[in-house]
Amino acid sequence: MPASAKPEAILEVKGIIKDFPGQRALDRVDFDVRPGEVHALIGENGAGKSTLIKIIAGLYQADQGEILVDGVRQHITNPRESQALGLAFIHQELNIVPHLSVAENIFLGRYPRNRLGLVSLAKMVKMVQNISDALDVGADLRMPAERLSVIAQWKTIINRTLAQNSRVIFMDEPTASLTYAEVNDLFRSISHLKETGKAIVYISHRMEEVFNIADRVTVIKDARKVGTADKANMDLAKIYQMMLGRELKDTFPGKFPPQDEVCLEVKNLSRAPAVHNVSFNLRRGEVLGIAGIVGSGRTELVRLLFGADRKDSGEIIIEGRKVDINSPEDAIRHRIALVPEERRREGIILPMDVKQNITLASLEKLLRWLKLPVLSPSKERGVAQPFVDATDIKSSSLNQAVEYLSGGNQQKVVLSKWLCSEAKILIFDEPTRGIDVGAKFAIYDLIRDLARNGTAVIMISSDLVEVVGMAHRILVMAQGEIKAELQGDKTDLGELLELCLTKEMCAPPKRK
Amino acid sequence: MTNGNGKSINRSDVFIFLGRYGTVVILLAMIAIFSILMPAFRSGTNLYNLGQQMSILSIFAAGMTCCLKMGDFDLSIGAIAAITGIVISEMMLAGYSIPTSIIVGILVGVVVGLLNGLLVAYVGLSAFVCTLATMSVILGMAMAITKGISIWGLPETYGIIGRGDLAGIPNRFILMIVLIAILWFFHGFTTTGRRMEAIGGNANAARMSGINVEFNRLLGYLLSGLCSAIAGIVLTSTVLSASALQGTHYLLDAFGACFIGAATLRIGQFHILGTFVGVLIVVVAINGLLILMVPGYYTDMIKGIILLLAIFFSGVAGRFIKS
Repeated sequence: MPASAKPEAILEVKGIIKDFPGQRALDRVDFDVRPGEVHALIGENGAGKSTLIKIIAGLYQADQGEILVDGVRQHITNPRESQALGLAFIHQELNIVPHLSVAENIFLGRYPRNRLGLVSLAKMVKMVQNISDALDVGADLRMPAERLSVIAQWKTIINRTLAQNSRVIFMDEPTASLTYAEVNDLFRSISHLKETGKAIVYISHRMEEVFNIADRVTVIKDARKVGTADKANMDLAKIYQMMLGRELKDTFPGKFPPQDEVCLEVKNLSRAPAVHNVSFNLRRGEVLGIAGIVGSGRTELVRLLFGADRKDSGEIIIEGRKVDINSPEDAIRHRIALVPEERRREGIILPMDVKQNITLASLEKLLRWLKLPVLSPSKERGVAQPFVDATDIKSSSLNQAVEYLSGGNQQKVVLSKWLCSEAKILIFDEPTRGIDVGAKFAIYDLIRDLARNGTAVIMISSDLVEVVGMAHRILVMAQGEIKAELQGDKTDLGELLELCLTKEMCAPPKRK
Repeated sequence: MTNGNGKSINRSDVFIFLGRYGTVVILLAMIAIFSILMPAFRSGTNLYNLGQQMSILSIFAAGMTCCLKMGDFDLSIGAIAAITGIVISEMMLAGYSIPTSIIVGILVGVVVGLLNGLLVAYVGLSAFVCTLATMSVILGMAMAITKGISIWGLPETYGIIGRGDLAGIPNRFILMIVLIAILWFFHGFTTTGRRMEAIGGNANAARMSGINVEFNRLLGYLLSGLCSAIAGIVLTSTVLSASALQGTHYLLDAFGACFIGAATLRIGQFHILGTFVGVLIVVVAINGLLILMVPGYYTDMIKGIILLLAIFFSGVAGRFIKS
């Protein structure tokens, strides 16, 4: 075995090939994990991350390649064997038994017994204290685990892996169901694990987290490993490029300069506790990006603009006139529209059909006789069809219920609803979340065309690449305030990421 | 069509057809079987009776549909009918004209609907608790006014609504058809009806599309109150008497009809035409059983079973089609 100057890897996989019928899931993938490091594994859905993890866990068998633990080649044929080798896997859906105590969850299936050979809770609680470097769950160990917060459940499971003497802990999208404060808590736990020499494999698609926590990053794309980068050489743009497989500047449609006319002014807008004293301007034809991590107050801010929530204080000025917006109805009257993040919950009416969804916010266009509130089916079709064409909605007909459309087409229906209502200020909250790649670029093109034709656009996104690629100007939000304003063309991805993170992720959470 | 794939498509087509038209098929089958087996069922007198029997239930159920459509419901419909009938009867006996009495009676129903709507849509009480409470309050008031005794001796002219007919068709049947037609048009072809449908589909998204959800739900309760009041008028006018318990047993039947309606044509959604089919099923079934001399005390049990089946099928068939 070649001796190396680098720290010895605990776990190493080499040249893994896995074929599924009709498709190669992994193609000669190498991956290694060293003690005391956090190694992030990233890639788009379907890239092969989870197949790799399942092979290491023993759920799948590789067709070719080898797995080495402490330099010794191992055949892992089932999860029990991977556990015995010190490999632990924590999934998004935490494997907690709700009505069992915390201590029982930690020793699940391997309960210590007392002299009489009975399972003893008292002994178990004592033994938790003997687990070296166990995390403080922050709750009574005799309490049923269902009463724990999600983060405490995480710690319980991590302690379980420690009780099993695991040395490599795989975490799959750990922050998906955590609040912001809990994410910090988890990160502190991970740092603690690192210090004690454990290795963490961190699987996530949230780039800001990966950059905050990882020592090394490995990118997998289309069943292949694209590369591994150290913390020192981590360049966000480069990693995105690895993931997307193309240059960033080729990804987004070109920008057109915004007009001079300011159409929206926001002054000192506040709503406790999420939004504090936010002020900004928006010009016609401008795409204003709002960046910031989940919980920074960005969604809450646009909900105030749209009247979905009521502001505590502050002013909204549209085309020079101060306006009162107390409901979405008011906002729509002032030609403001919101394409919400929660599309199925807030964007579309699933059982209604395409034309009914598109015309829902502009029923006055469908009147049959004068001002009488009677709908004309032919006008309905006539009004809806152009928007189906313009946004290229793929549906069998105008009469198809939107619940049968794909996510991308549903998003186009929401957008069409607002185009139909002649919105002048269009707010997008995570416009491309849960949408396939093709539809994503169609949405980018639509946003660009809208801006070119004078619509003012506000775009919230967690995808920093998307924000930089689309926006003329970028506001960075943190803790409910605007922390920075950047020019889209001059923004460096790494700099933007720093700005999103510095204030919040690294500092201990502020308690109110 | 011989391969397995084709077969499975065919089978699901059959299920979808049965899901959508199953209730209509059942209705037609019932009518056919009863007509063949029991000459009494298809007699002119019985058809006239059927027309009469379904009128009041239809009016109740159509009002109820306005609430159910938006995910609300109204337990106070029978109580509203009772108090309306009692107010009108007391006023007529006190010497007020029939039209004045009727207008005041309808206002009473609308005001109760308004109260329900305010409490449920604006205050945010649960529809169940709120309308159960108002039902109790109103029935109590009705009892207090009548001292628990039926009011008799209403003017014969008032009876035209419930007992008269036009060219052999009962007046109350005509009234029902007009009301159903108006509500059908309202729900299907007006902006307000469209907004209500959106609320029923997804109240959150409706609000985020600029629809005033609270106001429309209030309107649903107003319509339910209005229909219940009209049903109360037809009831009292038919028997020329009023009592506090007069409308209460229609509640279960109205629910049954509406849920059968939700298992018809547009699965999982409440709509007027479906409700009308539901009313027909309930009325024909009960009528057929009566002619078969099934003892009356079984009918409640059978109605309950029909309601359960309807709930089951509206949900299950809906899920099947969505998957």
